[in-house]
Amino acid sequence: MNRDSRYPALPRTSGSPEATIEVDGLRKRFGPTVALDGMTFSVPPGQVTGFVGPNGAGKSTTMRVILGLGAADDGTAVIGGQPYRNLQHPLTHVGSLLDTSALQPSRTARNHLLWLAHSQGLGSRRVDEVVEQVGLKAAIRRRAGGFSLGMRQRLGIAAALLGDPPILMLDEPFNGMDPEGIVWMRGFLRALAAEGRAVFVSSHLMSELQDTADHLVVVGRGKVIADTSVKDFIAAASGDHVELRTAKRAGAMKVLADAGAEVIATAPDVLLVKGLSADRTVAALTAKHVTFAEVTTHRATLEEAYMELTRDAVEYRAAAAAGGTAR
Amino acid sequence: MTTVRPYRSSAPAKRNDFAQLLHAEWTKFRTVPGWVTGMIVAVLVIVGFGLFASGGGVKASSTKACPPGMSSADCRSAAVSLAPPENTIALYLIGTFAGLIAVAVVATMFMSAEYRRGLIRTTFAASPVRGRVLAAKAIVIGAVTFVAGLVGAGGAVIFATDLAHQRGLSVLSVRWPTELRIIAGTAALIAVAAVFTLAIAAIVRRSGATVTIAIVTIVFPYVLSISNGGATGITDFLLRVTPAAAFAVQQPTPQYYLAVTSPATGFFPLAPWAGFAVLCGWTVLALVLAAYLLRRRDA
Repeated sequence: MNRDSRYPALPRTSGSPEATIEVDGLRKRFGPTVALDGMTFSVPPGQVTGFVGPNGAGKSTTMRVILGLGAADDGTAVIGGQPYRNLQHPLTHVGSLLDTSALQPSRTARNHLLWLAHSQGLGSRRVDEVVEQVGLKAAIRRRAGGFSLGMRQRLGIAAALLGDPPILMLDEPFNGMDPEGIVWMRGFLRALAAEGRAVFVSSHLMSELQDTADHLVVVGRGKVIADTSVKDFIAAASGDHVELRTAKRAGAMKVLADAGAEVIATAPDVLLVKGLSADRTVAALTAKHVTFAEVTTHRATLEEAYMELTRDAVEYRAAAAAGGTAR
Repeated sequence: MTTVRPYRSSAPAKRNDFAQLLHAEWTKFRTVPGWVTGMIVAVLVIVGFGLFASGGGVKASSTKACPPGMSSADCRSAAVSLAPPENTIALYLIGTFAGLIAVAVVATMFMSAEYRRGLIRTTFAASPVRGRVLAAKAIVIGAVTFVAGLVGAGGAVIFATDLAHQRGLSVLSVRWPTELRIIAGTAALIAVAAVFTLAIAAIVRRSGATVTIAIVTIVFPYVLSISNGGATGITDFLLRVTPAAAFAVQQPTPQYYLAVTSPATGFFPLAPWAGFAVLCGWTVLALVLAAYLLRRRDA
């Protein structure tokens, strides 16, 4: 099974061919290692789409394939319906940040942006604009080798923005940023999406995306585990449950099971109810005159939902690593 | 839910233009101070060796060039009697090999530094047709090193000839087309050697290995033939088949009789343009292989 049935794929946004990334059935192996195993998803415009999964799930590999930097063994990745290779001045279609350390250390930050601008037929005026936009004006004439990780992230974002692209694709943009930088980055990404751009952001930490992403593509072991809105993701994740304290355990279990809930007894007088809200739990019990002492709702955080969903993928990796050392 | 209005780039829609790629690669080159310095060093080394050769280097080089089996006294007398015609403008370009080392290092870095830092991905994301990137890089490094070679070789010949005249040493005169061919040929040798090195860097993607290959194939056979006192046996063979054959562009004229026939004084097993063609052949081969591998490999 490729996709968790709890998270049906969203219908493809077809009205906006220019500002979408569509990835379909990507497969790629590195020797014996399967990096991508039928990766399929799409990134719609006007939203921040989080691309999350444990390290090694295939996030960076997918991004490289989208940019035509790595070849897939099978499947397609298109930008507004076109393979990346066919784009004229690709940076005006997709702005990307893959690796913040990809800089010539002795070249100044401004000159780094300048050659990129020249490659797209843009001039130094556009360089000054993006530098202003990311707040790097004071340091821009310094050698990039001396930049802190946070400054490199800003420089990378500036480079991604050079062509004023409708799609932005950023690999781990929060890495190495201080709290102030993270707040800035969140606001910045939200603003870019609000302009109608498709913003595609990867992270191995779900918490970074909690207040940023609208949509999530969760991956593990080279394929999509969930493709859903953040709200649905949290709600559907099994972390959302009702805890019920009652002396009438057997009666309560029957009533709630009849009402469609999944009920687990966790202690002599405690039941864990899944698939039924607290309101409906109370209503069902009252209707059948089952007494209870306490009802509490547990709302999962994004992080918990994500941890549960990707547990398999992580365990698999740990097992594979253990097998590797034993050999 | 409100309908999303997809964003449209404000950048003017233009077609890809190779001139823009050249512009980008030129900007890359000129904005790394170390590479610009490397070019200046190459020029200074070529001129410096030339001045040294015209200054008191004649005697030293003829002593050095003694063939095995000849006693040093015989050799010295032979050198003295034949000293004047031995002083050719090819001798003033003796520093070409040293300048080539600096050029090879810069040409290597121009490509391999991008691999080392992962910058090559940024480059290919900006220009997905990789063969065009290789072409743009080759043209930029070729043009830059041609100019450096022209300045170095021209400077070496002019200043060294001047110095030789001041010291009362006679210089084997060549006609101006030959002199022009030697100077421009040296610049072309340096430029094509730089492109060859760049292609090797794209193939092996390691700076150390690339510089080693470039020096072993271009500089080493030439230096070996000088220190052996002539292009004989193995060095003769190497100067026919390796990229070093291109040093033949420095040959003044084949008909002069020279006491010691060594590349240092301008004697080569191949005719000037034939030797240059050997280097060009290797360069085309390396470029084709590099373009093929760039397309095939993941960046």
